[in-house]
Amino acid sequence: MLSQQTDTEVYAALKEGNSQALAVLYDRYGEVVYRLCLRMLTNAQEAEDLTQEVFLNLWRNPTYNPHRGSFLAFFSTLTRSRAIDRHRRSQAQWRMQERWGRNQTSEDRRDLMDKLALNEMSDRVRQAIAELPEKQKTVLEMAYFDGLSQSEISAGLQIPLGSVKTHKRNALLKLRKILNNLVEE
Amino acid sequence: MTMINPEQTQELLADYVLGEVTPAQAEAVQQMLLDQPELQAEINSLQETLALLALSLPDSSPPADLKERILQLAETKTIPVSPQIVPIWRSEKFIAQLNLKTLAIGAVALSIIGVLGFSNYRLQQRIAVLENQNNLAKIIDQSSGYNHLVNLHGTDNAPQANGAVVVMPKNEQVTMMLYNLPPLSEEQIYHLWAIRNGEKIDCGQFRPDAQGRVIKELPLEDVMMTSTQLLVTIESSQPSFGGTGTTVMVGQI
Repeated sequence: MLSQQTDTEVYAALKEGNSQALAVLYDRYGEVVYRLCLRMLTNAQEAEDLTQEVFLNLWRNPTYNPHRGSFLAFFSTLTRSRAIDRHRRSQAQWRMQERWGRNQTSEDRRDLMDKLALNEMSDRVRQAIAELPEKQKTVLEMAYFDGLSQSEISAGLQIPLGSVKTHKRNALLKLRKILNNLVEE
Repeated sequence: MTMINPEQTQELLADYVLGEVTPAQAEAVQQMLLDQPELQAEINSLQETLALLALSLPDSSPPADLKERILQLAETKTIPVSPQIVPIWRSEKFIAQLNLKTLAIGAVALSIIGVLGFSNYRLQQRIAVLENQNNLAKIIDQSSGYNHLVNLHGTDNAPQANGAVVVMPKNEQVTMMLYNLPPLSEEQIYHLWAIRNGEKIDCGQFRPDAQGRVIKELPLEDVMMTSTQLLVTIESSQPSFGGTGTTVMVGQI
C-alpha cells in the first residue's frame, strides 16, 4: 500500500511514472508547500499556482536524491527557491537572498506519513520557535521567510549587523537543540 | 590554519548552513569536511532543522480541488517529457490571468514542443546539461528575459479551434500551435495578426494540414512584444490589404 510506504519508496514509484505516488506525496506535503508559498508570496492565488507548479515539476523532472537528506528538506528548499524566483521576476525591488539549502549527504528519515504527523510536527516546531528569544525568532523569520539580507534586517530592526548574524546563528542552534529528536534519527 | 575550538566550529557550520559565510570561509568548511567527515552529520542536522521552519507556519490549506487538478495535469500527457523549457511568465498581469484551462493548454503545448524537439531552441540545449532546478531557474532567468505563452481560443466562427503561441525573444522567433482549424479552400489562407493600439499587424500566413493543425515557427516581430492581442483570421489568398477577413481565433496577451 503506497500510502504506508516511506517517502523514499513513494518517490521511487513516482519516478517510475506512478501517479498514485504523486497523490501520496501531495497528501503528505501539499499543505506544507502551500503554506510556504502563501507566506512567501502573500497571495492565495499565486500560492496555489506555485504549489501546482512545484508538484507538476516534481512529477515531470524528479531530482530528489534520498541520500542527500529528507524529502521535506529537499521539497521545502525547492519550493522556497521557486518562490524567490517568482518574486525576482515580479517585483524588482524585492531582493531575495537565495543562499540556503546546500544539500549534503545523509541518511535521514523523517516522513510526514499523514496529516496527524504534519499537525504534530507543526505544533512541536511552533512551540520550539516560541521558546526562542524574541530577537532570534524575528531575525530568523525575516531571513527565511522574507528573504532579507543581514543589512536589511539590521536596518529594519535597528540593530547592529553583527548582532543580526549572532541572533540568526543562535536561533538555528537553539532550535536544533529543542527539536533534538525530530532532527536526529 | 588556526585551530578553532568545538564551539567556534559549531558556529561556523551554522553560519555556513545559513549562507552567511564568505567564500573563503565556505572553502574552509569544505576543507574541514574533508578532514573530519563526521562534521557532515552536524551540517545535516542543521539543514534539517531549517527545513522544519516551514512547518511552523499557521494552518492554512490549499483549495480542496487543487489535488485533483494537479493529478489531472500530470496525467495529461502520455508521452514522457524530458527536462524541458519551463514557461517564464514575467508580467504580473499575465500571472493574474492564469487559470486552469490556460495552464492545461500551455502544459499540452509545451509538452508538444518537448516531443517535437525543435532543435533550434538554444535554451533547450542549455537545459540538457543542467542538473538541478536551482541552476535551471537561474540560467533561464539570465538568458531568456521573457518567454510568453499566449493561449488562443476559437471564436464562434471556429468554436473547436484552440492553440497557443510561444514567444521566445532570445531566439527571435515565435512558435505557433493551432488545432481544429476549419479547412480552407484554394482561395483562402489563414493569417496571424498582432493588435497594438487598435492597429492590426500581419505576422504571418499559413494553411492547416488535413487534421486542421498548424505547427509553425514564425520570425518574431517587435510588434508582438508590445501588442495586447493576437488574432487568426481567414483571408483571401490573393494579395490585398489584409485584415478584413473573418476572425477565427483570439488570444489575449
